[in-house]
Amino acid sequence: MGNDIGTGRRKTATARVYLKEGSGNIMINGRLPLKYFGRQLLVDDIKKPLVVSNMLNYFDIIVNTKGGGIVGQAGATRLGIARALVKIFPELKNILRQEKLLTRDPRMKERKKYGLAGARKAFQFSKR
Amino acid sequence: MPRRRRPEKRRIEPDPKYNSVLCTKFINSLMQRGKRSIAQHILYSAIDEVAKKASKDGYEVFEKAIANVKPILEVASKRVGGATYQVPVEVRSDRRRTLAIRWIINYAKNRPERTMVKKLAGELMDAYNNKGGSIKKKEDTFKMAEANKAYAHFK
Repeated sequence: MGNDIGTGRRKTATARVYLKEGSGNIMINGRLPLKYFGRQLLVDDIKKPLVVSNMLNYFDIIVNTKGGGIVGQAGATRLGIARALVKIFPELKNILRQEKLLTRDPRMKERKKYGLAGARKAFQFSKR
Repeated sequence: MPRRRRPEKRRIEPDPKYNSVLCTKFINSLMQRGKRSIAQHILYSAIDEVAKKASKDGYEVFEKAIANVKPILEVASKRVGGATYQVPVEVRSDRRRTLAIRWIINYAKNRPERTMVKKLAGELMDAYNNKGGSIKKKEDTFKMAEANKAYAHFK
């Protein structure tokens, strides 16, 4: 076993994840996952790397996450957990990669452009 | 529109509860203003309610309901020499699913029940039993195609 850190990002959120030998407790910014995210689906989502690698009850996990919204933070946490797991057990790399858990989701907010109301939306057209 | 080749279909993730692409599609169509978690809540609760009412597996009822609403034929307008004809055409499988989802959602919205969960549960139940607004829409579409059979050769 062992302890290690992983960093994950998604959209504009960042998560620093500390894995420690333990019994499966997870704390996110000092709170329980369900309390912090408020949605069971997101909690299941961050546990996915642990479920896939059968590590659910072997680590205590502490997460500090900043920036973005809760969905982005959950995605960042998931990536962070997966990366930390790979640091401790390099042999998990293939399984996790197959589930796309090690892929940084590259979709980002598209910038607003000058001359347009948003990234793509044009201002209302007025003939004269 | 691309100039060279047909664009590739986007692949979407299966939904987290039933691991089904159909569910994701349904949720995405149901979603308004990017409120995914509300759309998820509506669909999942409706499926649970349907399961209770039919005392069967809710997801199977949902799948069957969609299958029942899928149209086989529809009509497309085609202009030939100044006149517009309603030409019956077969519906592609992707479009079948899209139409079925759209009809179920729209006819659910017009139902008398008070909440969207109840409306959707009612419409799914009706579609499962081959009745209700969305099934009627499918049959109307089919009748339109039948009535214009004479123009089938314009395709």
